[in-house]
Amino acid sequence: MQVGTTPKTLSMTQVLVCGAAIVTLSMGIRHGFGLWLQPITMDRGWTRETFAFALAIQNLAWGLAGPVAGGLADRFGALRVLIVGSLLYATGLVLMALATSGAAFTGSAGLLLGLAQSGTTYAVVYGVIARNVDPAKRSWAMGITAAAGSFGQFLMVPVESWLIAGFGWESALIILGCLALTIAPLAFGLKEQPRAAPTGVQQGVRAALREAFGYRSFQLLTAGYFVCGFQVVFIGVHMPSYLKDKGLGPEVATTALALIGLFNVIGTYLAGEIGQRWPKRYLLSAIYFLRALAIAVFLVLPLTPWSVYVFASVMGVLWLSTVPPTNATVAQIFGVQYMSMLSGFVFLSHQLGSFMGVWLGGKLYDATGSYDVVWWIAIALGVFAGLVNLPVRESPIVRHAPAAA
Amino acid sequence: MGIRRPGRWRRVAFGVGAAALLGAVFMAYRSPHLVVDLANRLWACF
Repeated sequence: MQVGTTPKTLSMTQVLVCGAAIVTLSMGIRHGFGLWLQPITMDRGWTRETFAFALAIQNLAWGLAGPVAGGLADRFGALRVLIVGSLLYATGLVLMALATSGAAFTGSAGLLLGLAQSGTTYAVVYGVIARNVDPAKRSWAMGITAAAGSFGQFLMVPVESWLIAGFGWESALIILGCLALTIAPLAFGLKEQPRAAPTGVQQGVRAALREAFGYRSFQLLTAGYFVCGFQVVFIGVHMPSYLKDKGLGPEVATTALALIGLFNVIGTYLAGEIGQRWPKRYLLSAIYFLRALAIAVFLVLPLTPWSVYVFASVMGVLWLSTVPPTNATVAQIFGVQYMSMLSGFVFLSHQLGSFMGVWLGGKLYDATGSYDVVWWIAIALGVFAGLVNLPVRESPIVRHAPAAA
Repeated sequence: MGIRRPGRWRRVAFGVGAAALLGAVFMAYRSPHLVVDLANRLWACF
């Protein structure tokens, strides 16, 4: 979507309602996939590794395809990308139900759903928000949308559990496939008008990428987002095992999950709201420093159910609260023309961090017999991310027109 | 008599509705069926 001279923007309410509903569905549906582990592996006779490998592929495909989906959304409009993403989502879920071999399962639950998520989540929707919402309300609007995604995650775990219990795991996946199809009509609410070529300095995709990757603040934001992915996914995946090792019951881990989900909704909204008033680099630094502090206090204090609940609540507030300020800063620095593509690249860094958090958590646990080393790595990374966000320059980048020959 | 501020009441109503919705979903996590379900499968929920 080219940025034009006289763009007719969409109404903020329309963008927020449709964007929030889309992200609620796309983030929510994927969040409960772990619930299919037991029924699928039992029915198909697969190992946990087959299931875990498909989910790992899904996360990598989501990250790797993100910049491409974002670039296509910037070029051809979010509507087309969202419709294709919706169809891929529904197809992936139905094929996931029908897959009878590990390869087919990896192709559907892994590759197809990863591609679908890249076309239906934050990067694509945030491009529309950035182009249509006044910069004075952009961070707040991104906070609303991120909170909707967080709510989707919070809501869909019990909903999907009920669907599996009520209809069986295969039918539950097909029902979710139908739900994913509703993203397509919602996408029409994000249909932007084609715009004329921009005035001022013309910039192609390659030039935009060279500019972003050569710009120190973009590098720092990307490095910080890697840490976000590492911490969140390490804690999400490995904390239940950590609590079990320490002798706490499964109901403690379940309550912790619910508290993280609940406070995540509040935290993402507040991050968008605060990012509108305060410098976003300080907000991001504060989030990462607070995460490091929260983990350190959690490790040092005696472990009890209540210390777990307090830790889960604090981490919940800080969980996806990095999403609105990070993306709003990208839009603020580079403008909105390639917003989705650049957000996709920043998100790729997040996904690589997620992969490292899961993998390194398991690897170092096997090597040392405890999670202690990884917890302290998470603390060190939090301090690192807090520091690297401090010098980020949020002001719009200055572009000079090429001199006439 | 104070000045009528419909925007404020709308925000309050929205906040109360959102809190009720979040509370209802949180209570869903407390159902015994879900606790057992999640405890068995929690590791792959992210």
